[in-house]
Formats: sequence, C-alpha cells, structure tokens
Amino acid sequence: MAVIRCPHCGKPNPDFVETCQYCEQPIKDTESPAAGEAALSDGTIRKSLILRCPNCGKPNPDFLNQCQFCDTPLKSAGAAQTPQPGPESEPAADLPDWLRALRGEAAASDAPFTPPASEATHDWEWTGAGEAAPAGEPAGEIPDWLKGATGPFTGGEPGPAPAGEVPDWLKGTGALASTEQPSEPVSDQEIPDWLKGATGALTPEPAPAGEVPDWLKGTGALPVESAPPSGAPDKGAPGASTAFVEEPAEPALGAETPDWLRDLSGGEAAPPVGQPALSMEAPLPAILPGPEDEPDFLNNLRGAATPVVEEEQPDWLKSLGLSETPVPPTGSDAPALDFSAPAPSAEEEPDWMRTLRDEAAPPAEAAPAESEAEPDWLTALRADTPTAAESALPGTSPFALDLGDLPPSAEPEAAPAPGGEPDWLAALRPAAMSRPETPATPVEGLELAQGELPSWLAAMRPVEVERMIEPEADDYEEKVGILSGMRGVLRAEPSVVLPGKSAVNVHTLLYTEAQASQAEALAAMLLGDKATAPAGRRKARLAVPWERWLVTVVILFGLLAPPLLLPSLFPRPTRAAPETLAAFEVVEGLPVDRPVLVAFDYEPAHAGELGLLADAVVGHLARRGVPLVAVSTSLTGAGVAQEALDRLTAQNAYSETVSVINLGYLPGGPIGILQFSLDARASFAADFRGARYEDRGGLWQLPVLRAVSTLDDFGAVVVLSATAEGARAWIEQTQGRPTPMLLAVGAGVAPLVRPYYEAEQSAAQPRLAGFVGGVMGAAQYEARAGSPVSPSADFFWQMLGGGLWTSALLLLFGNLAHGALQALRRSRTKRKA
Amino acid sequence: MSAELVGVVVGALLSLMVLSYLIGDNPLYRVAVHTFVGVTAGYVMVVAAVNVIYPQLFLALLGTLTPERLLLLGISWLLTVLFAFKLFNPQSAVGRLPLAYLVGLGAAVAVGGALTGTLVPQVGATFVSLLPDPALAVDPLEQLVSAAVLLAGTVCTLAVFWYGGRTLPNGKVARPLLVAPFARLGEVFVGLALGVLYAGVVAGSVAYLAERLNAILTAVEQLLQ
Repeated sequence: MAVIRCPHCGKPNPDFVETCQYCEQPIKDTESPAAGEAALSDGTIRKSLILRCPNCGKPNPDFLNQCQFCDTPLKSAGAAQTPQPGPESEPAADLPDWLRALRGEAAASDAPFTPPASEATHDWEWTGAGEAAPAGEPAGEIPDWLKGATGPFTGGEPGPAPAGEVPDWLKGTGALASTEQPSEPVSDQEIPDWLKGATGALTPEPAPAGEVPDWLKGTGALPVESAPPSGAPDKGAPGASTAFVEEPAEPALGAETPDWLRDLSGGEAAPPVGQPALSMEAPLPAILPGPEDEPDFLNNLRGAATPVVEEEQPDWLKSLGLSETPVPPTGSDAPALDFSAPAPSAEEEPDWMRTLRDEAAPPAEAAPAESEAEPDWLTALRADTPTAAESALPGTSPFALDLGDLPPSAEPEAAPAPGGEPDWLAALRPAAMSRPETPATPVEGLELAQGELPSWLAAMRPVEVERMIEPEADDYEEKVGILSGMRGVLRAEPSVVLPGKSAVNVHTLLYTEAQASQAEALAAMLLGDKATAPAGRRKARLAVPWERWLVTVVILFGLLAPPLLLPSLFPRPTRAAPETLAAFEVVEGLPVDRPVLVAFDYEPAHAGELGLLADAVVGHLARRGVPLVAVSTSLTGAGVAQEALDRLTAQNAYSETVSVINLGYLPGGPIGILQFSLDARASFAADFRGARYEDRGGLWQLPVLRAVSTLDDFGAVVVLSATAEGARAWIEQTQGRPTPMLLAVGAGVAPLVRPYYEAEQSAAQPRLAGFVGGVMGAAQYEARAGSPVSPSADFFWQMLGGGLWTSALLLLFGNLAHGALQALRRSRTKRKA
Repeated sequence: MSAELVGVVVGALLSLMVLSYLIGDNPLYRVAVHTFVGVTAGYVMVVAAVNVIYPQLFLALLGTLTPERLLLLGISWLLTVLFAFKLFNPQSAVGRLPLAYLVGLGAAVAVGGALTGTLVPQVGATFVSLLPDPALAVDPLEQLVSAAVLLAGTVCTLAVFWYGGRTLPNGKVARPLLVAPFARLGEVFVGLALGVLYAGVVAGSVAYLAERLNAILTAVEQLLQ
C-alpha cells in the first residue's frame, strides 16, 4: 500500500484516499508540485535534503529540528551540518533503475504532489517528478500494476489498461490505473518498515531461519525455504514496526508462493514464473490487518487474485518469471504473504524489481548495480541490515530507531525468537485475539460498508467484563397527590427529606383544670366574637331627647314663672356680706380727685353677671364723681368697658377725657399689668378709639390722666374679672403697691379669689380692700349703696332667683333620683345573685 | 328703628338661634356660632391693630425719638419682624427668638408673681391663731370655728394629696394609718370646694341665661311697642 503526502499539510495518507485524513483537503491536486518537491515562491522546486545527526550520524530530513533517533538538535549553531542532498537530488543516471522507474512514473502521474510551502519536504516524499523515467519504461509511464493499485482506492474508475497485461488477481480488484494518479509512490528508503512488509514493493530482507520470530513466520514475509539470514538482525530494525502484532504466526510461504515474491523476501529459490508478482496470499505482517480485517478492496485483491495465465501476463510480468499458480486461498486459509522475489528473466524483469531482488538476496549474492554510486544510506542499510535469509524482519527504514537487543517476550504463544520480537511488542499482543467472524455489513441506509476493526486494533479493545447488574425494579406506588396509584413516578414525599416524629419522648402538655376551663372560656369567647350579632334597630335621628326637653322646660318655668307669676318671690337682699360691705366702704371713701383704674377683664358673654357688678361698683364710683380710667387685658373687654362707661357716665354727666377715659386693650397679660403698674404712660399712647390727643398735648396730658404715671397714682383699682386667672394676675403683679384693690368677680370665681382677700385681712392695711362676688354681691352692694331698683332690675332679680332655685332643685332631686336608681339596681343585682 | 333696637333685635335673634341647640345641632345654631366666631375674630384683629400695633410701632416713630426710645423701638421692630417669619414654614425657625423671649419673660413674671402674690400669702394665711383676736369685730366663737375649719381643711386637703402608701396583705395599697383619716376628711373638703365651684358656675350660667331671656323679652317688648 503506497503512502502519499497531502499536498496541503504534508501528512502521510494512504494512496487510496482522495482527501487528506488530517486536513480534509483533496490529495489529488494536479497543480501541486511533484512529490518530494517544495514549491518555492519563485516557482522553482526545491528537493528535500537530508541532514546527518551530529550525534548518531543517522540521516534525518532537513525540516526536522531534532534527530528522530537520538533527539539531538540538528540545526545547532556549531553544527556544521550541511544538508546532504537526498536521493532525489542525485542525477537521474546514478539512481537505481527501480528508483528511476518509480520517479519516472511519478513524474508522469497526473497528480503531482505539492508539499506545503512552509514545510520542507519530508524525507520519504516522492520526488520522482522531474527525474528521468526508468530506462525500461517510458518516462512518465506508470506500470499497470501500480496504476491499478492506486486507482480504485481513490474511488476513481479504473482506467483503460491492456486486458492482456492485467493479472487476473488484479483484474477483480478494479485496481487499475485511472486517469488520475491519486498518489505517487514513495521511495523505498522513506517507507517505514512496518509498511514495507505490506507494500510488497519493498525488499524484505531475509531473516535467519533460527531467528525468525513466530509472529513473523506467519506473516509470510519470509520465504520458508529461504536460508537463514546471514546477517545479524538489524539492530536498527524498528521493532516498533511490529508493535501491533496481532495475528498469530502465519504459515510460511508454501510452494504456491510465486518465485518472484519469494525472491523479494530474500530466498534463494525464486518463485516460479507465472506466479503472481505480488502474492497477497500470505498473511500480512502483524502490523497490518489480516485478511479478515482488511477492507474489501484488499480482500478483493486477495480473493480476486487469480493466477495469471502466462499468456495473459503482461510482458513485464512475464519478465518477472512468475509461474502460474492456483487461486490463492482467502480468509484464514490464506497463506502468509511471501514477498520473496520472483525470478523473472533478466530481459523482462523491470529494473526496480531486479533491484529489489538483489537487495533481498544475501549480501554475497546481492550485487548492486552501481555500488560506487550508491548512496550512502543505501550502503549503510545493506551493511547494517541482515540478509534476507537471516533477517526475520522486513526491510527496515534507514530512519528506523535502533532499539538494540530486546528481552524476549513473555507471551508464550507468540514467543518471538531470541533477539527477535521485543518484549514490549510481545506484551502488547493480547492473549486471545478474536477475528471478526461476521463480515462487514453495509450500514442500513448508507451505501458505505461498515468498517471492520483490524485485528491489531481489535486487540486493543478493552476487555469487556460482564457484570451482573440487577435490573432496577421500581415497584414503588405513589400514595399521595394526584399521581396516587401510579408506579414509576418520582416520589412526592421523599423519605429522606421528611422528618419523622420521634415515637420516644413524646412531650405531653400538663395543665390543670383551671387552665383547661380558662382555655375553654377563651375559645368560647373567640368563637363568640365570630358570631355576628344582629344589628339593633337604629333610633330615629329626629327623636327629641326627653330629658333635655324636660330640664329645659323646668328651667324656663323657673326663670319665667316667678317674675311673671309670682313677683317679689325672691326679695332683694338687705344685708351685705362683709367683703361686699368693705368694698362699698372703700369706694365710698375714695377721693374724687384721683382717678380710679377700672379693669374690665370679662367677655361680652359674661356681661349678664359682671355687668350687674359693674353697674353696682362702677356706678357707685360714677355717682360719687370719681374719675374713671378703664383698661382691659382682654381684647373684647375694652369694648365692654366702653359700653359700660357710656352707660354709666351718661347717667352721671361724666365728660370724656375729663372724668372718664377708656385706654383700651392692655397687651401682654401679666407683663402688661406689671409694666402698666410701673409705667402707665409707656403702655398707652392713645385711647381705646385711637385718639392721641396731640392737640391737647398727648393722651397723658388729659385732665383725667395728667396726674397719672404709675399705678400708685390711682386712687384704687377695681378689677372686674370673670375668670380667676385674670383676677390673680392683677393681684400678683400689683403686689406691694399701696393702691387699694377691689375685686368684683363672678359667682364661680369668687371661691377661688376669696382666699386672696381673706389672706390680707390680718394685715393692718390690706391691699385687697373689698370683694364683691356674683349677682348676689351686686345686689347686696346696691342695697348697701341704696341704689334704686329698676323694674327691669327687679324682673331680672326674680328670674335669677327662680332660675337658681330651679337649678338647685333639679340638682338635688336629680342626684336623689340617681342615687335611688343605683340602689335599686344594686338590690336587684343582689337579689339575682 | 334705631340702631339700638336693631342691635337688640339682632342680639335676641342670635340668642334664640344659639338656644336652638336644644333640639340638636342645626343650621341656625351653626350660623349663630360661626357669626359669633367671625365677628369676634375680626373685632380682635381690629383692636390689636388699632390699639397696639399702629400706635406702638408706627406712631411711636413719629414722636420724639430719644436714644432710649429709639433703642426700644429698634428692639420692638426687630422682634416683630422676626416673629413674622413664623408665617413661613421654611423660615419659621427665625421666629423662635422673639417667641422664646416672650415665653421666658412671661414665665419669669408669672413665677415671681405666684411666689410673692399667691404662695407666700396663702401659706401665711394658714398660720392662723385658734385664739380669737379681740381686735377683730368678729365673734370669738366664729373666729375659733373659722380658724379650726381653716386649719382642718388645709391639713386634710394636703393629706388627700399624700401619695405615699402601704401594701395590705390582700395586695391593695392604702394610705398610711396616720394620714388616712385626715385624707378622708380632706376628701370632704375637696368635694365641698369643688361643689362650691360648680355652684358658682351654675349660678353664673343661670345668670347668663336669665340675662339673655331678659334681653329677648325686652326686644320683643320693644318690637311690640
């Protein structure tokens, strides 16, 4: 099997493929340069060069940086390594015929190889392009057998070939040359050993009979009758070439092996003429798949290989001296391959064949045609490699690794010959190798036949260990949820997650009967709250509250009945209270040249009671002609003061600004009272009406105010207050002043203000000189003053009396009734209890 | 119809409208109340402006501006302007200064007056002699009873506000044994005092009602005349 280089990536590929198995580019590129040639930028073609390793001296291609044998850098600074020209660079005349023939065929191929420009050409690239064709063949003409070998592998149709020249074994394969040359044959020295034994174009060197390992014997690569190889086993022989030994030793070549093939393997006996030049009957080397593992094309090669009738053999084949052989057996019966070289006639044998045979022959027999011009590598090969009879290994690549003596293999079955099969190879060989018994069957639906594992690859398959795995029986039946009763479903309640209650240490709640009853009561309450109570009938909004109406009626009756029905029911008082009497005395004794400050600290709403007081006290002052100066700490009191002054002074011929003036509102509350008591003029700049009396020199130049600057300048201070706070403020802020003060407060304020009056009574001259409280006090004061009682005043007095009595009686009887009802309910509750 | 008569009649009507609350909340009552509130508010603003702001802040500038007067006016104006910022929320913090001044001054005056005008005299007033004073023109028995009642009332009323107690075996808290009887008597005095106050309030309310009724009747009488 030829190996071709991909023109794009330079990787090796079998010749039967059309696309590179690495880069998937078409290999058959007619425009690429020939094999072994690098397309340079200038259009010239550079031939591959060979570099000698400075360490081991082995040849290496120039594109390698390290020696492939000893990993020594090839392209070091000190290495005076001059690339040796490869065999491709030798003149065509110096090349052996077989090689020349190969080059000529390659040059005439339709698919010249074009290695990548970035890569140097590899060592085993075909560089036959450009070289002269072998002498025996026209330049560019590929032998038919070679054409046939490449054509069908690429899928191309077999090209025209002389029917008489095509061996029968080759006819059936369809491996006839096509118009396209898919690949170009590789030089012998570039082909690795493992491949050499399979190609058949190699010259397997004869191995010594005693040294032939069993695994190789069966391959048929060695002739059975051949003498033991004279040469020592090539130490450089790549033992790795047989690393994938899979098949047992194939029987040695039998008498059916063509002589030419036997001669190729190095045996003295040349295969009889007529035998197929390339017998594929013998089993392939261990590195190659066996007949059973081989693809169909190869099997077809074998199976269809029919002995070529002499008269049907092409001339070149006849020259090989192949004898007619029976149909080679196929399958397991197929004998091992025998690459012993045939013995064609000297005239008819192609040069390359002759060369191969010569090389396969013992060194004594082998006589290279041009020993002097032979390249060094070839000479080295011949010197190093054993003879065909001695060497049990096929032809080794000059670039093969020298592994040295390998220990004998431990495999009993495939125990190689001493010094033959390396141990690692024996170790890799499986104990039992099974060959696929079933032939390849095409995959359904595809036209391609299913590939078969080669034996060597099948041997690498892991041993299947049959283990008994019990089938998982899922018989769990779901019990909850909507999937209850179904099997084979995921558990709704994973048993791992669900915590379970401990059956031990169950906590019991201890409680008493009282707690239980309380809990029941609470539960009953909660349940009772939930129960909706029927909504009671709402009372009509227009319903008049009879209690209120009753009280109103009673009070109105009490107010109106006495003056209307029972006049003088309530006589006016004739005696005055001491405090009222004292007040009268104070007013009575006030000088008329000193104004009296009257503080009207009550609201219009309180005018019903305080107005009577004001009429009594202020009226008394007015009747005496005492100048009056009115102030008010209430905003609305100033207006009340003005109304009172107007009413009182009109009766007594008081003239404003002379006898009476209303200063108006005194701001600041206690602060204002304190300021006024300290500096009255600073508190007011105008009167209640806002008059400044500029024409008269100002407010404080008026006759009534001319002598007033502080509180001490007043003859007295009369405080008319409806609230205890107002009265207290006047009392507290005027503390320490000698001006006497009269308090006229309402009935409700009187108890709160009276302690002030009572507290100063022990003094020699108490500041609080008098105290008049309520309507009663006003009546007492007027009675003491001897003021005439008007009818309206009497009417009012009667109303007031009736109202007070009515209120008192209502309070009394109301409380009594309430108390009686309460007692009655308690008695009923006790009775029920 | 004179203005006085109109005033009387209007007053009587408003009084009746307020007294209509007897049948419950009604529009007449609402009108009367709103009228009273509005009129009062207006009247108050006018009085404050006429009697205080205008003469104290504006008219004072027209008078003789002595240095003292000018200083006082300057401070008055400054506090007034700062207090005006109370009307604006973002700058209302500026009005805290005059407000703080007023509150502080008022508290000082009030506390001083309470001490000297109320607390001291009242405490002194309780120091009465049970022995009658012949100088007073009061019956000695009356003086004695008055003094005793005063003393008892004071002490017992103070005992009512004794908040110290003792825990009884049943868990209740009671006054101390020495204080408990006085506290009991003091509760009587406190009750009486509160009753007297309530009586005065009732008396005043009756007086107010009588006066209103009298005014209504007067108005009716005048209308009828």
